[in-house]
Amino acid sequence: MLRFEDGRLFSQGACTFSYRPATEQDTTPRIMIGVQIEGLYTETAVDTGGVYLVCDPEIADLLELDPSSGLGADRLEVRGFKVRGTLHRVSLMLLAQEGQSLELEVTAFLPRLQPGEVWSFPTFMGLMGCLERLRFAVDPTTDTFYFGPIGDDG
Amino acid sequence: MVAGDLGRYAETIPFPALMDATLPEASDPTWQGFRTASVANMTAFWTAWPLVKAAIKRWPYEPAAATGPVEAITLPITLDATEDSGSGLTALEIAAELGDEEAFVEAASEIDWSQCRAVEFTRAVRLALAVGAHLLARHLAAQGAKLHPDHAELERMARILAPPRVVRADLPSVPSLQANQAWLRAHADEYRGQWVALRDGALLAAAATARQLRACLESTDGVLITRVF
Repeated sequence: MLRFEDGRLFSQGACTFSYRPATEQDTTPRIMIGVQIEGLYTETAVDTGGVYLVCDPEIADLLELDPSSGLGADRLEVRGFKVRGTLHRVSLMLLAQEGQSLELEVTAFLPRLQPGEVWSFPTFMGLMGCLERLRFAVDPTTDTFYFGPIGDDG
Repeated sequence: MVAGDLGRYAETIPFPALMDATLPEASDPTWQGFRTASVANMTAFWTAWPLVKAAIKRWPYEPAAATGPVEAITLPITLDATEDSGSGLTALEIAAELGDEEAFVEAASEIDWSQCRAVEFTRAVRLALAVGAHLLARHLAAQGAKLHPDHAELERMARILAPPRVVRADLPSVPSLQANQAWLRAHADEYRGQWVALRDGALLAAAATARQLRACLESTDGVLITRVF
């Protein structure tokens, strides 16, 4: 695990990431890692330029969250597209291959596609509302994603 | 960047309208943090802003007074005078209608939120989300819930939009992650566009949709469900 100079842990868990385009339309590789969303094990892209945990609508469908428990968003801009959906508070677990896995409570956007709309994105974790209270680091030489909670010092 | 700036920014910024003007923080450019840095991207909204403000002030109470340049302004169809008790919410509506996040944040900074009703907070939060002002939405929800603790919708908004929280940090590792990734690398071409279910690096099922895939599985425990690209 990564440590600060004084020996404190920077990260508590690490996993190998896949570095590949996240969709057929993607031309840029993404960092894809395994997570559990409300207990459902799937893959997400790390997107520090985005907001919230934005779920693929088909994954959102499997979560079977009660829409009335969410916050309706008439429009949320997702990568340049205005999408309707609901915001929910969900459990997100970052799965570690080494060290310990980490469970968070995050804000998730569950898109609700209109007839004729097509979703062409992966599920992805944005910074605000999702990753912002974590320490994380990427080692591209080993394709390793390190993560850990910010402690009292954060 | 000073270590910890991001974390503190996300959680501790007081909402400017609720600041005590006697505190040093009142002169702190915190509110500027909500604004984008570039003035060059000002939109036509700002060209019309003085006129819009004049129109808001008069509309709909003195329609006969709308003469001269103000007459040229068409107010957005979403305006609802019943929702604006003079708090300035109409300005937010206009900025949201124009899709101008910067103008929205500017308009929000001019509102005395300490005097706002719960319904005005909930409306403002929705507008902030629609215009892409997510951090402002979070702060409005939090401040609204603090001012109106018995309002269920504001409480729900504040809870949903709150900063992420670590629930548990001592959960076991999952060594099979790498085997599933290896399977995806090896078989991506064969299953591209399909949904697959994998356990410990072995394919359990494949289907055109996630729901169809789920129907093939007895349980999803420990099963990776993903679309293959």
